[in-house]
Parts: sequence; structure tokens; C-alpha cells
Amino acid sequence: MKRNHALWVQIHPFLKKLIMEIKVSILIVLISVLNVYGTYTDSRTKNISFFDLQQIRLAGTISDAATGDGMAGVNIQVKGTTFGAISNEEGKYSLVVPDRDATLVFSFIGYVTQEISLNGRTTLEVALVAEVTGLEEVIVIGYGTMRKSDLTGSVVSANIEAFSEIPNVNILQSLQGVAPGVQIGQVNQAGQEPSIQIRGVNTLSGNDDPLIIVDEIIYSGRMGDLNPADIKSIEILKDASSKAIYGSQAANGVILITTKSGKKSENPVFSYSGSASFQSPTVNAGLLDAEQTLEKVKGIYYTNAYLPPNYTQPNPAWTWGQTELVPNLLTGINNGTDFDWWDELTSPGFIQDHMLSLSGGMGKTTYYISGGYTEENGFVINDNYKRYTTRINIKNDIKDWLTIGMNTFGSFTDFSGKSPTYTNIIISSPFVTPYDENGNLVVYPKGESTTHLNPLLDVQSDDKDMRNRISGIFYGIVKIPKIEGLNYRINYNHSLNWSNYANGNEYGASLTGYAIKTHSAQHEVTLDNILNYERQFGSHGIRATLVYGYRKAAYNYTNAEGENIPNMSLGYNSLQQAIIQRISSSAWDESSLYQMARVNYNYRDRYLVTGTWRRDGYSGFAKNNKFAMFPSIAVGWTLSNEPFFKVPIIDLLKIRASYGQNGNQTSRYSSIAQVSAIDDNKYIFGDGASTSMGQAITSLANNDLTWEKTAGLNLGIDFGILKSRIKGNVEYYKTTTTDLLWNMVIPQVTGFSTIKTNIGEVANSGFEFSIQAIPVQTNDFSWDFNMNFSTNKNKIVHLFGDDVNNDGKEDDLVSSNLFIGKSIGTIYSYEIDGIYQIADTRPTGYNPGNYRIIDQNDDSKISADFDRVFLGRSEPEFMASFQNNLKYKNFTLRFFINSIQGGKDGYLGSQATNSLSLNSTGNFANANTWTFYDFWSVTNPDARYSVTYQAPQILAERYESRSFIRLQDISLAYQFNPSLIQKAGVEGAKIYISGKNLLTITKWDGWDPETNQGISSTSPYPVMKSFTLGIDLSF
Amino acid sequence: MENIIKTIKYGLLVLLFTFSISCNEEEFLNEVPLDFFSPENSYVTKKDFESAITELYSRVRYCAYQTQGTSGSYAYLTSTDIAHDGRYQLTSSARFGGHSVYLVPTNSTVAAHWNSWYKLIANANTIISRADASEMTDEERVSVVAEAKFMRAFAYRYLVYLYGGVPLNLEEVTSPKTDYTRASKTEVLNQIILDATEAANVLPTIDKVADGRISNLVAKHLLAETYIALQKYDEAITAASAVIDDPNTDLMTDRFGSMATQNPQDKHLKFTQPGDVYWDLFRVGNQNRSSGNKEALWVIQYDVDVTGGNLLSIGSWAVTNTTRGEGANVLERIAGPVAWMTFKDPDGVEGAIGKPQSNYNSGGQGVSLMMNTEWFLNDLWVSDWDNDIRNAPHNIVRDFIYDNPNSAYYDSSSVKYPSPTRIAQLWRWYPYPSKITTPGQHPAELYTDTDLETLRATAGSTYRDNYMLRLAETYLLRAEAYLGKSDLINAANDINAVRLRSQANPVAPGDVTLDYILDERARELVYEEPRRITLHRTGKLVERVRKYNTLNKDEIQDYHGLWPIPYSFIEANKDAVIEQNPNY
Repeated sequence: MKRNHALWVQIHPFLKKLIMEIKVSILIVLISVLNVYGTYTDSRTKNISFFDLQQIRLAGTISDAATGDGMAGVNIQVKGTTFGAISNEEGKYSLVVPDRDATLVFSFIGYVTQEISLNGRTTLEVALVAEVTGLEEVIVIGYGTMRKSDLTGSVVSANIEAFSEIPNVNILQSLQGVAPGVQIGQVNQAGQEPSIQIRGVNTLSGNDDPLIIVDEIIYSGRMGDLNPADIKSIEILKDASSKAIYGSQAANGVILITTKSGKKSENPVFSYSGSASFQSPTVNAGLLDAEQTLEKVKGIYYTNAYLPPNYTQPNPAWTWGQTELVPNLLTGINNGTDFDWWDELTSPGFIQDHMLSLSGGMGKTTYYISGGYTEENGFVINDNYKRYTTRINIKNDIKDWLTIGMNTFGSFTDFSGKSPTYTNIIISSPFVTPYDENGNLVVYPKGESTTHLNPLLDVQSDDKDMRNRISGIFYGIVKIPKIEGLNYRINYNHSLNWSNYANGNEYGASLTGYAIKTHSAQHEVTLDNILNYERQFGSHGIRATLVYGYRKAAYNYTNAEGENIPNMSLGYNSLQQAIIQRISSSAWDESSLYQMARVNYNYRDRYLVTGTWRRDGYSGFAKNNKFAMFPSIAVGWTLSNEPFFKVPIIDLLKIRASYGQNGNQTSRYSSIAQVSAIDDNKYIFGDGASTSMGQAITSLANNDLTWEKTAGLNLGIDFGILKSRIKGNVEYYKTTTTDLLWNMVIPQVTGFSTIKTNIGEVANSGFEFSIQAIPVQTNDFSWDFNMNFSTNKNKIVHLFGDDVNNDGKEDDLVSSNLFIGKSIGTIYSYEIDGIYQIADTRPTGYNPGNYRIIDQNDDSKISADFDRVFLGRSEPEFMASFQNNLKYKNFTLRFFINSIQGGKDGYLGSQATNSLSLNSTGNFANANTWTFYDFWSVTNPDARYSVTYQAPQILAERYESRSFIRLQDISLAYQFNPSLIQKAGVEGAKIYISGKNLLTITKWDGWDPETNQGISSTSPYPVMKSFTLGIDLSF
Repeated sequence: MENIIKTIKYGLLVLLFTFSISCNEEEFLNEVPLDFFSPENSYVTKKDFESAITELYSRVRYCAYQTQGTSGSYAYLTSTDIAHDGRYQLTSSARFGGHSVYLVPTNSTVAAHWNSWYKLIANANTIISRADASEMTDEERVSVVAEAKFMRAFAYRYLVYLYGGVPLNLEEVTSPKTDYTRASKTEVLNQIILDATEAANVLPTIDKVADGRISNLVAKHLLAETYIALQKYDEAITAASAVIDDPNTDLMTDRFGSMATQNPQDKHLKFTQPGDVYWDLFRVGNQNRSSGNKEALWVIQYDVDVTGGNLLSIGSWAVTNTTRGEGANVLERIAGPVAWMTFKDPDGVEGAIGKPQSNYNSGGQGVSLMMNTEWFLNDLWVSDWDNDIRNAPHNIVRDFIYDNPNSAYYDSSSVKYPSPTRIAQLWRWYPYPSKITTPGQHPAELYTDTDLETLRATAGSTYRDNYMLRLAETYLLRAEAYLGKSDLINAANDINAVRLRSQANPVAPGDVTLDYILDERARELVYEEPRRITLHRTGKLVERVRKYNTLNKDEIQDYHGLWPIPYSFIEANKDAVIEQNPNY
């Protein structure tokens, strides 16, 4: 049951309504009493006789004029009397009216009140039209829905509509920056899943992903499998009380996704939307060209290439042969070869997206059927993604008391195509080319001895990577007879994801041929029994939900691979051709069991109370701790509904407070000691002997391992001003997580490096502010915006509680980078003060080009004990976003600005300079590097970054701010006038153009601040900017 | 009111119904591992323990030769008196170039060796602690425990010499322990004595064990070495004598094994000297007793293309063929010169064909990461240059013949006709001991052209078994013990047993010193013994590096005779203070 439109409490009608409610309540009680005794005819009063004479039963349905959905809670009143009724869940109502020609008043807050004369009718279907200011909504809260005005916790509805013109392949991208406290990561690869974080990090090493619920069922796996166009709404549960219904998995926040359903309409509605996007990197970077590389090589061997003592004058006797450059590179230098590998391996990206849907409703059935196709070609060659989705959502009100339905979908994604590895790209050299004179690919461009395979050969390998999912949710809703407002719902879900990966590469395994085939499958079954009760008793609104359910998941994986394949023509489909064969397999299963109870109480829309309790059992918990309880309580006070509240410009003022506990589960099998018997453990005794099996314990057991507990307080104020032209909310929260799951570092003398254990306490507190305003609203032009601002402060409160050094303070866990009173992302490292130059005196173990580390304790040596300091933290200081919608006649211009700021020493990222290919003179000379790596050399003494081919005794890293402001999305849409297009049989048409990531303001070097990829990133995937053309049609 | 009562009534009914269909919760939530074993059910039978013992062998192979993959694996060899960085670099972050850069408590190599030996100890402890409750017979139990105790002692041997007095961990750890303290060096040595004695008493004799398996003699050899460290020379002599006098052991003095009837051949170097028994010791297949070798005490097993053999002929697994990520016994790659790839003739033309070859001239697929010191290559042999077979041209290869037909210098000596780059950059070619490679005996799949003897670029392993302990070393240990007792005559006798086998002139008793014994060990055991451990044990590292190692002599400091205790251990051991070694 969806109620899409707002219920907005107003002050003035309130008293009137209240008096009426009391009267109606008294009447109901009186009638009940009279019914019981059946004696009212004997004791008529004047009123009753009037009642008796004119008794006419009127019934009907009240629906939302816009959506056709039934509207619950609509007030029906016989004009001029105090008789009335309220519509039920489905919008149905019935009442006894005293007069055949009475006039009925239908009112619902946020909707235009209607007066209708009966004129003798006994049924009356009414459609209410929302008031323009109707910004209030009904929202999904998990195992049910609720009027937003009844909320006591922190629940945000994401405005995904604002991103409908942006080519977001993954729905999570549309949440980026739209809700305060929700942080979504950037993506830089085709089909990539962005990261999500809600209200900071509550865990040290546990899972920190929010729980995703799709159509009431826990969803595990790739969000990319959901077609964004199928999604109707997204709600985010942020505070402990709202989340408590999901107990042991809720600590990191809960995202509730609801897919589209059909609407009752005469004609089915076909919709098509299509878009095409053209992408290019946001950073114009590449690999060094030949000239730059020659300069680099001279810099590496400056002791020969330049003359001492200053090494500024070139050495006339210098030759390239005096370097460690491999012969092919020397040949290339002589021939003047200058090949741009980066250009060869990349090309502009392209995304196309097509979606066709059919929705409607006939009789008792509503349906929504869709099919979608998305194709994404990334920037790096073969970074491809294709997605095919289908969805069928059907609902049927078979009987008055029974509704059944199903939400099913299939998602078939194709990641096939092997991209060149980062390693192979970065170790290429401009002095060699991938092709020989005849245009054929060279196997080892740098010479066979380097074993540097031509990256283009990787690309040509036969690669298949299919990841599929099918899921069906089947539900039934039974209205329990005789008890008004009570219904039972059963949800059953079975989903299956399976992946097939296969690769055959004749150049693999040192050119002897390599092939692999991998299959994995995961089954999930969920069964939920839900009892819902919702009833208004006069001024007392009660809503109760009971849930009992279980969930099971099982996974299996099989891998087979082969090397040395004399005949590769059958590729990965005949692995038995391989001389060397390997197989491996794995499996797991898990189960959980839960009960949940939730009660909401509402007194006259003024006082709101929510209490929830959940009991969770999970197989992954250690044997002494299989179950957990999660209670919570929340209260709300709608001040603006109080009779005494008389501030004319304020429409809404509500104060909320909640407190509750959530959990974070341990990972499967993490409490059990494991014995491994892998190939590493095996041995042979004697030449030609057969293999002897070996085994060893690889982890310690912890029978008391328990879940993480996050308890949190949330305080919120909701407000609406000037008939909701301005509205918003302010939230403050403070959560404390105890029993943190932690891989405690233990001395390896024990034989183990870590043990999974529960330690300490982490606190998160934050402030969130969100405001929506409509500064301009005229017939032709309107402007509305939405601003979000959020902060989060993370602090480690306790660790072990030890004070070994007897300084009266609890000890830090330095080995794990955990410090009492500091955030989890604290950066405790060496402070850099420039780069050592040739002429500098340097401590032992440091070379020109290495960072100069500040000797904090002046003992003339750099040591981990005394010379590390707190440089800052990786967490941001605040996040802010600004969404604007401007409408002029048929044009809509939207733009969205997103920013994450680190403040003085926050949001720091490491600019490491010691990655692959930089760690020896030979490797650095023979490989390439990115153009944004401003590295030290004798000719570039003022460089920003060190070189590490001569390793210092202690390698310091430079930490820099990742703060940025990004014009993330901008779009311009034109909506055609219906009158123009209807002749062509088209109901609605919109065309748009949009841009993504067009402008980023940051001081960060490297690929992107948000992806934390710096100058020597391990993945050469830039964040893309794109231009999109799109069209939406409905007919 | 009625409705409320009804509501409650029905509500309760439905609730009861719902809860009554619930199952047995404990059973539903029981967690059963599907793809791994648990300790409770996998340390029960003799077979289980046999698997656990097998793992110790696989692990000791890893610890001694492959810790930290190709970069850390030769930390026991390089920057000592016998070898230094092949590229003359003290500071490469990929290799143990110099002590000043490497020997800091935060260095990953320092921690990796510590961690890997302690893991071996922990795995041995698991066997020892769990043996009592197992289903094994008493006899089986005693023998399993003795073998595990030897492995534990062997691990402490490396730790005590590398780091000094280290924490003694002698029980299986089943819950986190973070308050270790350092035992004294003597305590650790005494523990080695205790464990090795039990092993020496229980383990079978050498003729009764499978190839690769330890015998009582292996334990006695370790006892001899450890008693010397404790200056208990009589006990050391007794232990060593038990090994030397055992009727099943002998120094090999006659040609034997797979190449017994052949002489070393190289189409470029054109050896004229016949093969010899020292050469036979290092040919493929000649290490195990089954080949007739009576000198081997403990041979670390490698086998090609067999799971557990740790060597693969081809493919990516040949380089990193196990999940620990180590390269498999890559001495050829590390110690071999890279001349085959980069060598120019005096005209500046390619002097080599540019492909690794399975011959002495090329030395397989070396890449010049470690080379012998000038002292080792020259001074050490002066007295017996021509007669000591260990210095024969096929045992230490001292020339590279230009083998590129396009070169005007084809088939002529690069020592005689060096190119300017060779003179400027000694790392491009240097003499090397041929025991690092297997000329003509690489696995068949590795050849790309059998006529040219060219190999795939994935070569680089030494494709044969490795001596962990060899009787020649036992002789030299006993010599050390006699020297400790100032019995120079017996010391000289033992040294000469080794020298005579190699046709070297005997040493006079008056010339026997610890340095002489270390010299002899270098001649006999180069790239075979963990030289750094020997020099740490004898306290001679710093002195001899300063004397003989031209690259490292200036950077090594007095305190580098002991490695620092890894900082990661000090930090994690949060409930007790660990004293760092001096000056770190």
C-alpha cells in the first residue's frame, strides 16, 4: 500500500478537528454499547431518532488523483454536523449519513479539501488533489510504511528524481551527496560498485557497508544488478532507533529500496528512455614520452650522466649504454622511437542506456514490466560492461481480504574482456612499440628476458566474465477478519546469483598457454512472517508490527585452470589439454533467524512514541554468543500541532529524540580455528616420490567472539516555514560502538599474526543539516534547491584499558595505528621536510632524492619509536552538497555541486612514491611513470615528490589533502507540451543534455581525490567526465 | 473496547502460530565449516600428525631459502665476506644491499625472517602439545614429538644467531599472548641442546630414513654446532664424531651419480679439465642417498612439476608456484651474471645472443643480483689455484666467451677482450660458482631450442635438491671444536679431510685459526651454508666484511653482528617490555 502524498499538519483546522474527533469517539462508543444491548429503540433521544429515521449507509474509495492509489486516513465529515469517518488503508470508507442530500467534506492534510453533494448516491468515489505545497510524503521504514510526520527517527528519502537525467549506471551514484551523512564513493571503471558509508565508520575491521533492503528483503551482492530506472524510491535509515528493526546487521545504516509498481489506469503506459554518454578522463595525464624518459634516465644515473661535484654539467663521456636499460630500449633510443602506450591502450568512453517499460492496472491487477539494456565502454581498452535487466512486478487483490503479488527480476551482466594490467602499462617504455615492422604484435617488446608481455596480448585473450542474478519475491497479504487494521503478510524470496569466468590466453604462462574456468553460485532464501496492526482509536493512533523470519545463504565455488597447453584452439573449453592442471573449490553456508516487534503510538499528531525490539541469531557468531537482542525507543513532539503554538510563519516544528542499539555481525567462520592443507604445506620425500600431504593451523579460535554493538542517540528538529517554502531538518547524533571486531595484532612468536577479537569503544558524533527551499515560484519560472551539510567526528574511546607504561593513561595500540582520543583514520607517521639534495649532509641510509624526515627528538637518527608524529587523519571535516532545480516554462536546468573538505588536517591521502617499478634504479629506468609524478632529479631539485630507487632506511610518505569541490552533475531538459505531441500518439516527451564531473577544484595530484588515487596509484583508471544526450517518451 | 480485546486475542493467536512454527534454533544456527578443517578433528591420528610433520619440512624449506620471496631469500648470503650486491648498490629497496639501510627495527626483511622461523616453531609446538591426547601409540608419539622438537631446535638456531637471546615459545598458543620476554642467548642454546638431544636419541639412523627426512645424525650435527657456541667442546666433538664415524656416512671421494662417467662440457668455454667428485656433488639427482651420496646428511627436496616439489618447469607457477608467493629456490637467477643479455663486445656489438642458455658460459638465467666478493674469487684460492678441484674452471666459471655469431669477437674470451662497458660496469659479468645452476640439466620443458641450449625467461631456479647439512661441514665443525680445545693437530686433520678430497694441499696445524676454518668453509660451502648465520655464530661478521667485502666494508657498523629485534614484535608484545639489541 503506497501513499505518495503529503500529510501536512496545519495549525488552524487542528482544534476544530480535535473537537470533532472527540465527539466521533464518544459516538462510536455509544453506538457500540447500544449494539451490544440491542435496546436503543427503547431509549431514543431526539438525536437518535433523527439518526434512526434517516439512516443511509454510504461507502466508497478515496484515491490520490495523481497516482490512483487509495488514501488512508482521509477525514470524511457530513457538513454542518459532527458525523464523520476516516478512510482505511486502501482508501475505503463507509459511514452512516443522516440525509440523502447531505454534503460531505473530504479533507486530508496537504490536499485540497472537497465538498460533494450526495444527491441520493450511496457510493461515492473521490479523488483528492494534492496541494501545491504538498512536499510531505509517506515513506518506507522497513516492514511497512509511515507518514513522514509520524517519524521519530532519522530517515531520509533520497531525491533520485533529481538525477534522472544523469547517466548513473549504478543507483548508488544517485545517492552521492543527496542525503546528509551519506557518503558514496566515485567510480572509475565500467560497471564498478561505488563504496557507501553512512555517518562515519563504526567499526575497526568489521564490515562497514550499510544493509541494503530491496522490496523488504535483504539484498546481498552487486547494486549494479539493479536497473536504476526500475527504482521508485530510496530511503535511508540513519539513527539507531530506525535501524533497530534490522538488529545485528544495521549498525552501518540501512538503505531501503522500493521498486516501481503499476498504477490503476485505463490504458497501459509505455515508457521509453534512452541516453548516450561520451566520456573522457577528468585528468589529462599519461605516460612520459621519449624525451622525458631520457631525461628521467639521466637523472637516475646522474653520477655518470653529469659531472661532479654539482652534477649540473652534462658529462661528455656519457652514453646510454652505461645504464641498466635493457638492449631493446637502447635500440629504441638509437632509432628515435617514441611510442605512446597510454594512447594506444585507451580511448574515449561511451555509455548507452535503453529502457522500455509497461505499466498499468486493470481490475484488481496492477503490473509493471520493464526491460533494460546498458552498455558501458570504459576509457582503458576492454574495460567493458553490459547489463541486461528485466523486471515484472505484479499485484492482485484477489479478494477483499487477500492480496498476492510478486516482484521478480533478472539481471545479466557481462564484464567480458581483459584490460591490460596496471603492471603491464606502467612498465612499458616509449622506446619500444607493440608492433613489429609487419604490423604484428611483438610478444616481448622490451626483450624476452624482461618477461614484460605486450599489454595488447592480454587484451586479445579470450575472456568471458558473466555475472547473473535472478530473484523472485512472492508475497501475500491477508486482512485478518473481524479485526480492523490487522493484517498478516508473508514474504518469500529466493534469489540466485551465479558467475562464470573463463579466460584462455595462448601467451599466458610464459607463452605456453593458460586457461581458466571458474564457476560460483550463491543461493539465498528469506521467509518473513509479518503482522501489521494499524488503528486509530480516537486521538490514539496505534501501529504495531511483528516479524518472525529466517534467512539462509549458501555459496559454492569451483575453479579449474591449466598451463602448458600445446594446442590452444579449444581455449578454456578443453582444460584437459593442459599438461599442468590445477583445481580448487570452496563453499560456505550461513543462516540467520530473527524476531522483531515494533510499536508506534501517536497522540493527536502531537506526541509520538516508537519502541522496537529485535532478537537476532546468526550462524557466524561464536558458539557462546549465538543470539543478540537489540532494543530501541524514540519519541517525537510536534510542537506546531499544540494548541498553544501560534507562530504564523512556522508550519511545522517537531522535535525528535531516539536511542537504540544495533549490531555488526562477525564474518563467517571467524571464531573457528582453521587448519589448512594447501599445496604450500605439501612436500616430497625423495626424487620422483609422490606428494606427501601437509597441514598446519592457520588461525586461532575465539569462542567468545561476539558482534559489535552500536548504541546511539539521535536528536532532530524538523521545521517548515512559509507554507513549507522553506523546510528542513537539523540532526545531532552520537553513537558508541563497543566490542569492536578487531584483528588484534599479536606477537608472531605465537605463530599467528592476528586474532579476531572484540575490543574497545569507538564514538561517532555528528551534525547534519538539510534545507529545501523554493525561493522563486511563479507560473513560468521556479527555482528550488536542496542543501546538505554534515560533519562526523570519530574518536577511539577505549582499546584494551591497559596501562603498561604506567603513565596513568590508557595505552594506544600503536602497532595497529589506534590511538585513544583520536580517529580511526589517524595518520601517525614521519614528518617530511623537503628532499635531500646532493650537497646536503645526510644521515646514514638516506640518499639524494629521498625525503628529509624531521628528527623529532634530535637524536641524529630516524626511528619509528621517537620520530613519528600525528600528521592528521583521513576522515573529512565536513561534506556539503547543493542541488538546484530551475524551471522556466518547459525547460528544467539542474545542477549539483558536491564537496568533501578536510579542514586543517583532515581528509588526507598518501602520495606514495614507492610503488611497483620505482624500487630500483634498473626498474625505474626500464619502466615508465605517470606525467603527474613530479619526481626529484638533479635537474629537478625542487620536485614535490621523492624518488625511491635508492631506498632510504625509512620510507616516508607525503600526505596531502584530498579536499575538493566538484560540479558533479548538470543537466538541461526540455519537456514537450502535451498538446503538441499527443497528435503523434505520445503522451509525454522530454529531451535532455547533461554533463557529469565537468569541473573539479582540488589541490590533489594524481587521478582523483575522491578515489584516493594519487601519483603512483595502483590502478590507472581515471574518473571520467561525460556528456549525455537523452530522451524520455511515454505513450 | 471490544475491538481492542479482539485485537489482542487474535493478535496473540497469530503470534502463537508464528512462533510455534519456529525450529530448533541452536541446530539451525550451528556453523559447520565446509572447506577447511578444524584442529579438533585433524590432530587425532598418526596420519594427521604425519601431515603436520610434513608441513614442517615444507616450512623449513621456505624459511631457509625462500623467506620474503626472491628479495629476502639471499639475506643469509649477500653482504657477507663471500658475496655482495650484484649491481654494487647498497640501497636498493628490493635487496639486502647494505646493513645500514636494512638493519633497522622497522625493516620488513628483519621481521620476515623472525616471523617465518617462529611460525615453524609454533607449528612444531602444536604437534608436541597435541600428541599426548592423540590416538597414536606411545612409540609413534615419541617419534613424532622428537621430529617436531628437532625442527623447533633448528628454528631457534637461526633466531639465536641472527637476533641473540630471543623469547622461548615452547607450547602451543591457543589464546593471545602479548607478554613475551627475551630469554638469554645461553637459555636458547640450552633449549636447542635439550630438543636436539631428544631427537638424537629417538630418531632413526640415516640408513633407515626416507630421502629428505632427518635422522639422528642430523640432530647430532646440530648438537655439535650448538655445543661449540656454548664452548662445550668435548660434547661437540662427541656429537660430531658420532656423525663422522657412523658407518653410513663418508665424504665422497670418487666420481658418482648421474654424470659419473662424463666430463663437464661447454661448447664455448671448452673445458679441458676432467670432471671431479666435487662437481658430481652438485649435479641434478646426486644429492639424495639413493644416488649413492653418503656425504649428504639432510637434503632439502625439490622436484619439478610435482605438487610439493616446489619447482615448475614452465609457466607463471614456475616463478611463484605457491600461495606464500616465494620464488622457488632462485639461486641461479640471483647469483648468476646477466652477461647473456646485455654483454657487448669491444666494438659495441652485442657479444651475447641475448637469451639465457643452459650452459656454463651463460650460467642459466642469472640477472646479477648478487656476486662473490673479490676476496672469494681470487685471494681465497691463491695457495691451491690449480690443484684445488673446487676452483676448477667448471666449478668456478671465470670467463665469458662471446657467443654471438654476429660479433667479430665470436668465440673469443671476454676476459681477454673486455668491452668498455664491462670494465665500467662489473655487474654485467663476473665469475660465479657453477653449483648455482644446472648446465645441460635444466628441465626439458624449459628449453626453447635444444641445439642452442636457450631457455625460457622463466628459468632462474636451481633445478635440483639442496644440501641443508653435509658431512664436510661436520668435519669443519669438529675442527672448530678441536680448535676451541687448542688441539690444533686434530683440528688440522679434520680440515685436511675436506681439503684432501678436493686435492688441496693440507694445512699445517700451526696455521689453523678460526679464520682459516671460515676460509675453508667458504671454499667448501659457498652459497650452500647460510654464511651470515655462520659469521654471526662465530662473531666474525663485521671483522670479515670490513676485511674482505669491498662494497660493504665502509657501511657496516660494529653492532651489525646482531640483527635488531623487529619493531613489529616489540609493538605487538604490548604487555612486556622487550629490550632492543644495542645501538638500534
